[in-house]
Amino acid sequence: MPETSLKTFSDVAAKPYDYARDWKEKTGGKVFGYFCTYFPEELLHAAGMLPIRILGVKENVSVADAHAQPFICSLVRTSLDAAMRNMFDFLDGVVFPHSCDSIQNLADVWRHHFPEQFYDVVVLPVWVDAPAAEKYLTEELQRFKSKLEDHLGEKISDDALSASIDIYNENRAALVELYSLRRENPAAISASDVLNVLLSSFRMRKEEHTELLKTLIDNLKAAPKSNGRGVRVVLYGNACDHPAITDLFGESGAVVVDDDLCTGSRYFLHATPPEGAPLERIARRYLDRVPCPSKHSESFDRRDYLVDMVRKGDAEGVVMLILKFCDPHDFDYPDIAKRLTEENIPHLKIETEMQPASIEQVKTRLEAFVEMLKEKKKNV
Amino acid sequence: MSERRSPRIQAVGTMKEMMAAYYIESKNAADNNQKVAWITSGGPVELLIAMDVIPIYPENHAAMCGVMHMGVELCEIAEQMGYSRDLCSYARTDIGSAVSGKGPLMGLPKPDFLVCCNNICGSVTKWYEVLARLFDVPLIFIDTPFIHDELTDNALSYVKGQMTHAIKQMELTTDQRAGESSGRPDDRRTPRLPGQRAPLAPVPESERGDVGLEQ
Repeated sequence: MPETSLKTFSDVAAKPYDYARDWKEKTGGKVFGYFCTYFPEELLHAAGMLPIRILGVKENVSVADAHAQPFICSLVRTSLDAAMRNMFDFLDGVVFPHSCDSIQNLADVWRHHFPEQFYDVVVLPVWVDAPAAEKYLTEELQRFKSKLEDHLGEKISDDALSASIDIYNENRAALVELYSLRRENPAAISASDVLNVLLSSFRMRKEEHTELLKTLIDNLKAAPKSNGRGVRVVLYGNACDHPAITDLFGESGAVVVDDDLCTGSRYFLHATPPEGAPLERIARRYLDRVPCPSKHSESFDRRDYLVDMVRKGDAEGVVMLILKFCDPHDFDYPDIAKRLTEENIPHLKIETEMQPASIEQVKTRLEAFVEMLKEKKKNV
Repeated sequence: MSERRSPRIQAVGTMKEMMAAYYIESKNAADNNQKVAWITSGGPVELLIAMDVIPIYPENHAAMCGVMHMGVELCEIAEQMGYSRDLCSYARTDIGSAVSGKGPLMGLPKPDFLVCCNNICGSVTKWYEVLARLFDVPLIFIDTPFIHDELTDNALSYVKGQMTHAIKQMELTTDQRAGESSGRPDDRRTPRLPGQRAPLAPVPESERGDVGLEQ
């Protein structure tokens, strides 16, 4: 049973765009591509469509260089390249949230090249705990909702929206449970399998994903607790979606106990609150969730957050998986590194790109880091 | 053949004097009971001028460092701290100067607070967060939603509300009142040349928290 769930997750993660094409053919429904975890997917779901997260492609860039500078994040660059090579022609629309400068500018370059595709940018606040942020975002969501309704020729009812919110919360709760089980028994599921669960959640209809995930959770609960000696690590970073990289942890004798990743916990932590009108509830959720470094928050300090995560998971080190050319993460890095050092938490920064790259270099550095942690453990 | 000389711009001399006086005044601000704030190029500097706070532009200073061939050294200081070479060089130059005190003016005067408006770009948000941690001073933020098509009433209202909030924050930080009812001379709210100042008085307890300016 768990093998079936894991296999499905792995298949969808490996070929996300094929899954979307199949779904479209089977159901006759619409598929919208979205960028980044700040997009209020619930609205798309409530309109009956399949929202799929675009995370670039693992191929070298050819045509996009004529339209975007090479020193931007490869998620943006490879996505634009893939779009220009017609890999996304099955999409009925592409939507963007405001998060970082690169996504912001990609949005305008994109619509310039694909004027026939439905397009919109939901301009979320950058300052997520600004006094008027909720009022502003609720109204901005209403604007998008109206535009979508006009485009589809049908209204999205409050009931449909509430139902979608519940479905999304159910998936989030299941992912929280998965992470909790992993913290207790990290050897029971590999880092790559967890990554595949997330990658497929970004692309499947939520209710379908939740059903499979619950099966996986039941089996994890029944799994024997391993008294393994794997070195426990926490991951931090932006979009790491290379199973080849996550495979390296097991290979080098480490287990991942938790993460603060855009392709990890940031996607699902924090449920939509129960009170208020649907759009207010959705606005509240996207403002209160663990912020991406591209957001400004007066109350959230990522240094404290990561140290707590390390302590809670009884972790021995932090491995940072950061897509190159990411300003928000790069600006945060030195002060985070400094705090981890002050707290005696070893850390390693690994820069990645979407395009195929030599995994050997990453492997060597990770192995050396894990070896160092093993030695430290022995000498305690 | 005579040497070609570019025509001299006569205002350059006066400009240099004004700049020097401006920076000297900013470095002696505390002695004159004034505050200094660092602000982004697109920030609402009118608010600072209205409150008699001396605005300093790190972006401008970074360009100056570049022109004086000090940019590379200052960037390297930031890079040694862990700031990626892929990051904006204005930010790296500024962080390098702030941390080391090096630069053509021997560093900028320490800010009493920071004002960051992200209309110029998203990088300033992160850069000013770094500065706020470095100097341990308040960071006043103005979030201006990016306009892909048209300015909406919603965005306008959101920014207006933040201006009001920013004024309150500045009043508390500078312990003074933005407005006319304090009885101070009007010249506090007009652009001044260095050396011209109005005396300041602290905000009476009973009036704290009141905005003063018309909405």
